[in-house]
Amino acid sequence: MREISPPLSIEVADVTVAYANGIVALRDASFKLGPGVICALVGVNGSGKSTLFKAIMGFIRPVKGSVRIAGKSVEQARRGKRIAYVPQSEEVDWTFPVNVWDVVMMGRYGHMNFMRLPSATDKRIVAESLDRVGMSDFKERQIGELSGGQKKRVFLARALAQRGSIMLLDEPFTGVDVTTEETIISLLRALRDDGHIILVSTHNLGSVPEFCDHVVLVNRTVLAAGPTDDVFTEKNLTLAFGGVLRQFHFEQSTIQEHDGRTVKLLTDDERPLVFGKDGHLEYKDREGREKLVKEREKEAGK
Amino acid sequence: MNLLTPFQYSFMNEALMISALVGAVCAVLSCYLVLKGWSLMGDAISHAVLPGIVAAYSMGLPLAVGAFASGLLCAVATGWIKSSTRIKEDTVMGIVFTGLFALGLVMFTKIQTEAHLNHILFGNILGIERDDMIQTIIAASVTLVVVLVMRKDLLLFCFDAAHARAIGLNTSMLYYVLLSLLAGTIVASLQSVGIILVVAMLVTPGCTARLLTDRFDRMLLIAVASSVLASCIGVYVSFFINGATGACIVLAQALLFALALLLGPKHGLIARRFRA
Amino acid sequence: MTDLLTPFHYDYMLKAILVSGLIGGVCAFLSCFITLKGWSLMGDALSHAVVPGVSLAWLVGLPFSVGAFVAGILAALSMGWVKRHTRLREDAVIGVIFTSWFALGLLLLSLYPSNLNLRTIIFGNILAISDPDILQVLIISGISILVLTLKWRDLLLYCFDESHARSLGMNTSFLHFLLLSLLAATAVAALQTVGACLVVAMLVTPGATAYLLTDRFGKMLIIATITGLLCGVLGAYGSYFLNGSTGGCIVVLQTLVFLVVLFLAPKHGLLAARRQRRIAAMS
Repeated sequence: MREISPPLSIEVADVTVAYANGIVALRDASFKLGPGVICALVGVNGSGKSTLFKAIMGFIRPVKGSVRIAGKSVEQARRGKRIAYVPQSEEVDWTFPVNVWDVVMMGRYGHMNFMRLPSATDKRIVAESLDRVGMSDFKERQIGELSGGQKKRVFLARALAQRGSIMLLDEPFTGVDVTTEETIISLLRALRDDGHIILVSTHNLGSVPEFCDHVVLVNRTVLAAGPTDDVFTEKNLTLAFGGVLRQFHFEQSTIQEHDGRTVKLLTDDERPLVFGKDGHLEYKDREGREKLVKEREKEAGK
Repeated sequence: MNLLTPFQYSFMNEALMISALVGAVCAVLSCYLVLKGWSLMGDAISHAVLPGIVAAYSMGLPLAVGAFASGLLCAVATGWIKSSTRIKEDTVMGIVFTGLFALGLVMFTKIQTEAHLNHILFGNILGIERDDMIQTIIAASVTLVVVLVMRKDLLLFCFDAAHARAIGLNTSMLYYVLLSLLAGTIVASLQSVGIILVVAMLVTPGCTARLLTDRFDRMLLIAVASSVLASCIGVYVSFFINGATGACIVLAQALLFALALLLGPKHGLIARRFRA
Repeated sequence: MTDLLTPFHYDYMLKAILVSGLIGGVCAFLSCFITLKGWSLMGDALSHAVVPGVSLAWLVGLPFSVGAFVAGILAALSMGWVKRHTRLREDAVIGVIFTSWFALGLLLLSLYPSNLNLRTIIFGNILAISDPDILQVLIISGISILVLTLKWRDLLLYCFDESHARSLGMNTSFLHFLLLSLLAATAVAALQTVGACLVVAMLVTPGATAYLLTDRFGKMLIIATITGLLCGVLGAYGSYFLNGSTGGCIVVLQTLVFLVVLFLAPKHGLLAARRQRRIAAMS
């Protein structure tokens, strides 16, 4: 049902965004995505991730450069209802008197007539979308009565119901249970295989190589963009995160029988809890833990 | 009639003095309200005092007592409904204060003459009586002293209530202190601008000062100065144009606000345009 | 029994009851959006800011509602402008501007008395409403109802999730302006019924009452409208017997209904909440 020509793409070229107060949030950002891709947008808070999102959705007009979607302007793409957006949970008023069905139906608004009266097709698509995220049993629930993961899935269903070919997800994994995370990921994979472009903004670094084909690293500009294997390197990440990233080097494991291969852990929000061999707790520094190290040595020796 | 004529009348001199005093008290409080985001609270309490005034009048009590009680009732009811339902705070405030105001209105038509109502609503500074003047002065002085004594605590409460609590201040006490001060100020302003326009006195000077400075101490000074100046200009001008005094005071406040908006040295529109 | 029918023998009472009911219903419809959007202060502000327009319209010889509507829109626009150009909080900006406009209105009224006197504007005086004014109210209400029935779903989406509305290609600044215009228009219509000080009650209370009773927006609209309409009719009717201010009676009635619902609402009421707490404590 999608328009056939021209092929789907997002092209961000030399985009500079400055706000009314003169602050430049993004400078000369460029990257390009073709059809059928899951792309992670990675950067620290305030790096311009959400600015870039807004520019792609056409909420802010760049002072320089352009965003083209399938060769057309963002406004045209929006009129074609091609861009679906899944907001962060904090942006939603959960006390609003709407239930799950109503919210998903909102995804169909762009396709409805002037009065927004749902047709049989709209209803069918909403039911299908709810089914795909496994939320059919909850359709009568007021949205505030759902768990964090269920809330996320409802908004994902809304994006599905919109039948957009480009999907933007803002921090989809914060406050979400493991089952929902898996549901979301497998859904996104299915969409990718259908030729959609999926753009996920995240600071959850660990999940990126798991399911993203492409990565765009952002820090006031696009530092690097391309296939995950090429871009998601330690060097680039250090560049993107600067000193913000916590680094854990385990060259010096507190476990003695270390096989010499270095393990390095990068994380930007929380300290990871690491268990080594035999379920021993690992510490980043050995200093001050000489006693512990000795104990382990003894253990290993026996 | 020349420009000094107003000062030949003792009622004009009294009016100037009283409105300057009321202007000063309101200005001090307005700095806190503006920073705390309580403009609607000021509006709400100022309307909600009406039933208290009517009740106090019919029972022969000082009006200030009734006004104070029903102003607090509004604040307490708002807080209580807010905490026990999912309705937004601004909506709750809208419901409570209009309910009380309407109640006051219905009570009023039963017992009083129109002249009194107009005085309470729009102020009657030119015809202020000795008793009312004393009440105003007492309410204003008490409020002013309490604010000045507690100004650091109140500032912390407005800026970061959680921190205030963490360092051992009694924040719910501060909340009610601020509310009581608000009610007290409104009582003091009844005679000069009336309950309908008092919210302007409680918001505009703080905003004007906020445009001119980033320091709280200076903000207090500027707010008081601009408010006193506006009150005097308002009363003075109203003598010549023979218009509603309260309205003239509020318009003078608005004028000062507009000037600050345009000409402010750091945040003013012209300065900003010049820099850009 | 015949006593209860007396109000209907008077032409002016009949008119007052019908007009109050109509305005109550229209305001209540809009109140669902106002309460959810958190625009109570805006409603209060616009209902005060329309006052200078009344006076100016009289001086120029236009219908009062035209002047009032224009004044309301101008006030809203100037609020938006000042908000964009300063670091002041929105509530403070609204407070400064609406009181200035209102003071201007009061000054103009004290200098140039118009056909609607100060008392009518502040407290409303539906019993003395003239036929041309009824016509104005009818036109405003008709347009508001038409626009709201056609566009309520868009407005709902705008209130609920502005970003999503925009990503669907809706013109959200138009929707914002539409909601402001409806607010100003209904404030003008309600001015003569309940007066500038109490308009905000009509624009907030029925919506909040309905919000306590349902989790569905469609039902909320219906409940609010019915509540607003009935309170308008019964308040005006009751004011005949109380011999009290009509606007005051309508709003007191609305508040009473709200309080009853606040306690007794089956799911979100205070008693229900207490019951749930008790059950939780026992299990």
